[in-house]
Amino acid sequence: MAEKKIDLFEEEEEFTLDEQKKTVDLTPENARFFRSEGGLISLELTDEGETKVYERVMLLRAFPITNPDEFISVREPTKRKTSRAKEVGMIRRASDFDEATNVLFHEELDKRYFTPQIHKIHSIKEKFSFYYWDVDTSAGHIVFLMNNPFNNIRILEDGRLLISDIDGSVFVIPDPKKLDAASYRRIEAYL
Amino acid sequence: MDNQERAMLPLDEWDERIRKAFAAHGVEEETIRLSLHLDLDTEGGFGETVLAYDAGQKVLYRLAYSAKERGDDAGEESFVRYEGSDIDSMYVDNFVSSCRLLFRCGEDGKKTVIAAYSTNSRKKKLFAFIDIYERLAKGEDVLSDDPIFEQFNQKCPKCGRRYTDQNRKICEHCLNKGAIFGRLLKYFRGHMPQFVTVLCMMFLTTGISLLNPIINGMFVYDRIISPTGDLHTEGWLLVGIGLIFALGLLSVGVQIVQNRANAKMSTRVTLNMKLDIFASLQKLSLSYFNNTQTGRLITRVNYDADKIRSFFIDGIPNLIVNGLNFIGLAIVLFCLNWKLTLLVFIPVPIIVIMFKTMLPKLWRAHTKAWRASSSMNAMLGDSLTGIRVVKAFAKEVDEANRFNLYNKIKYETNLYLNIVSLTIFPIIGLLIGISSQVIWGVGGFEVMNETMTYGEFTTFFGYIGMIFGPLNFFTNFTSMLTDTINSAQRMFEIVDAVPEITDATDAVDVGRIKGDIEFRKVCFHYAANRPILKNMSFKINAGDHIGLVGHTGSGKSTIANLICRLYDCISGAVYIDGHNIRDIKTECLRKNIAIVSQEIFMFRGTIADNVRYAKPDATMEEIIAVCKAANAHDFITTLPDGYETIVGVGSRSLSGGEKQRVSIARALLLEPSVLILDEATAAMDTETEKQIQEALGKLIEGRTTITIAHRLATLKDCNYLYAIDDGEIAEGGTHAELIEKKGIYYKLYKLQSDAMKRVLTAS
Repeated sequence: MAEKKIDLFEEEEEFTLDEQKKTVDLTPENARFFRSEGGLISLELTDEGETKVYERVMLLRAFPITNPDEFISVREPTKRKTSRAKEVGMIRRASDFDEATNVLFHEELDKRYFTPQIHKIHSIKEKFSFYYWDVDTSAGHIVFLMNNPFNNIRILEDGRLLISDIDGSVFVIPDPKKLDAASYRRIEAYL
Repeated sequence: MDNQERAMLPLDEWDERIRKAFAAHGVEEETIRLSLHLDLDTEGGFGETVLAYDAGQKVLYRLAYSAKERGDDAGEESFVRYEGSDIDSMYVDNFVSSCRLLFRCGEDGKKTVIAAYSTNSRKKKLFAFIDIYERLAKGEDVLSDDPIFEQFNQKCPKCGRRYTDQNRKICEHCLNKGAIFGRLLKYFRGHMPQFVTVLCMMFLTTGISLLNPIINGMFVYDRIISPTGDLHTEGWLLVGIGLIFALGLLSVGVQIVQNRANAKMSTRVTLNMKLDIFASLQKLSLSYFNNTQTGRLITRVNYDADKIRSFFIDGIPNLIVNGLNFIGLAIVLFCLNWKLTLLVFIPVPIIVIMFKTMLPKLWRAHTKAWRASSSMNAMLGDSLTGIRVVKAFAKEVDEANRFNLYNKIKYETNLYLNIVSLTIFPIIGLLIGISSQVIWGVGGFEVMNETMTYGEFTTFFGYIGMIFGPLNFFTNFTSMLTDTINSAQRMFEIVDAVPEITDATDAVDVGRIKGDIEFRKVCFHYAANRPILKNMSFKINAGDHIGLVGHTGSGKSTIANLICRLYDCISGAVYIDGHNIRDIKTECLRKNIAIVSQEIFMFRGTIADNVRYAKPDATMEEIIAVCKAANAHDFITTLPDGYETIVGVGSRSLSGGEKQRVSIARALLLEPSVLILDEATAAMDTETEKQIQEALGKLIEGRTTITIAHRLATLKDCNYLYAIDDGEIAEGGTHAELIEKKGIYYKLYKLQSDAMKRVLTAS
């Protein structure tokens, strides 16, 4: 029988029937985000006169596809090893914050929502009904594998293409028509 | 300990390049006990990161290469050394399609360091790495045959060979390499007599159609009707007309025989194809259905098989007939008058060029049209299944509008398709028309100059009319072919899909299961970025009545799903009676384990049919006995049709509690060794629940029973309870022990009893 691991950093969760989940609108006035020594994001929040520092917060997008820079949920993991997290507050618009903070947001969010942008398609080869995509992306060169182009290429209303590989990684082409002619020709048949 | 056991554990191995790179930093392979190869660099780009742990010195090394451009040899190298004594609590931070490895580091253990990034493809190994690392760091010895490595040694269920790439279950040996067309032809095996008949009839048809113009022109006109003809008598005219009539009759007869044989063959083939698709669908694991809309599947089974059928009934025979016709015609025409024939072929290159340029457009329009009708069907299925919600929110009009949206898309794509094809074909018709006029003119001159008889000319003209038919067909045929290949591709995708859960080649039938269940370090997720069970280990002894409690989403139902093997664990294993669940035949497993889940489905049929779903040969006595045990007998007998009441979609609907009772009866009929009740009594009133529990009490004696519930009162008969929290076993014990512990269970207990008290004081 596995004993529950008691973590030093875990806070005792108090819950009563009347517990109201309280979250704050995070604005440049009450919130300051900064990078921790180890490269994580920390938050200093002033709420109702009290200032509290959260050593590690998670940023989550509420609308990752259509509205990536608005409605960002800021959460603090309740336990160190879990993904479950309590919401501290929400950022209505990332652009309300200064540029340095926005750089911080973007660095964190771009990793969490890892979606490399495809610049160039060198080849798409089919072998035994698996498709090997040889592409240059914003995160470097990669050959990824896909099993059916008709199911794994999603065309969004604004014309963006979301391409999922066999492992669930997602790649984006912001505007397929702006690709070079050779690259466009390679994906044309699947659009 | 010998050297063998000191060597690097079989997680990731080094190749020559990595060996050299580490050697350059003074790290020798012999000192490394554990290594992990990740596919992202330290900034999260597509580079690579190698982690290596020296268990002797307790040092962790990280060698990384940054992302590079295509064609470059290697990215920038970086090398870091962490003292193992500084590293504390290593863990994974899950992202959307990637993750990162973190640990606390530094003398005060305060600094959290991002050690590495990885895509989901390496996640399994990443978790195994952490597990082994922690055991090694504690001083525990891990051997190369440790059960944790089993997950990286998976074999293809078809041929038993080890997958070359363990991250992806693709077996190169078992993939179907045949071309799609060849595979489609396989469906025609066993229809040889029909096929030969069809072919013979086709040759006959071709012969008759080639004979027709000769008889019409050169025989009936030139020799009989023409005043200069040598058989210019009324008797011969009757013979000629009779001949034409007989040929027409023969041709009709031949066609009837051909069509009948063809119809027999092709419907049989569609039948087999649809059965193949449906059977393959049934074999696929639950996760496939979670990811695919049912409406789309229905489209596939129906539309695609029909497309393929029509190709074989209309396409292929016509291709052969037209091909033969075309060759025959060309030869005859050239023999008759080669100059005129050349005139006929002048527009052909133009037509071909037109099609070459227009065809891709047509092809894309076809795909679009297919997609549109597929999403329309998906929407239809969605809306009709959710009709209760639609009605509850009075959204009928909006649903109709939503349907019209898809309908319009379909209309537009079809309109476009028609416009494109209806523009091309008249232009081709015009080209053909012009060349006919030219031939009339030139031919007319030849007849007037008496270099050609009128009969020869009619014959020739008859053949001209026939040659554009095949031409027209060939150009259409390409789009038909691409369409069919599309459909076939989609069909084979389902037929070829490898079910995630398959019996191992050496799976055993263990017969009657005793009911010992053990979870050993089970990790599970439905989506890679959301772990559900985290390294869960626990044991249930045969005959125990276990209760599982915990918050919604804590993983209780997932445990039930894993015991039934509706899904396979990501790592770790479930053991039943000491056998790994993967080594037991699924059929045997399902016979012994019955589950009553939260989602209850009634198939269309009588209540009795629904009860005996898993055991169709059950007697009426047995059905009534289990219904009594499930407290369903009383309400069933009061229904006008009793046990013969038709239930299921589209007929009398039972209430939630009634359905639950029927499904409990369904499970009990199986006489399972392991019975799982997943919120099986949640929709019943307390009184009914109590009655069922009493009735069940007798039946579940000696069987392993697992009850999952939110209401703690449901669990009062359990002799052991596990509280699940966030994918981990938080605590276990009897009711009294857990109350004593004042943990999660105690909190839940207090919450529920407080709520009860409030109700009491309020009233």
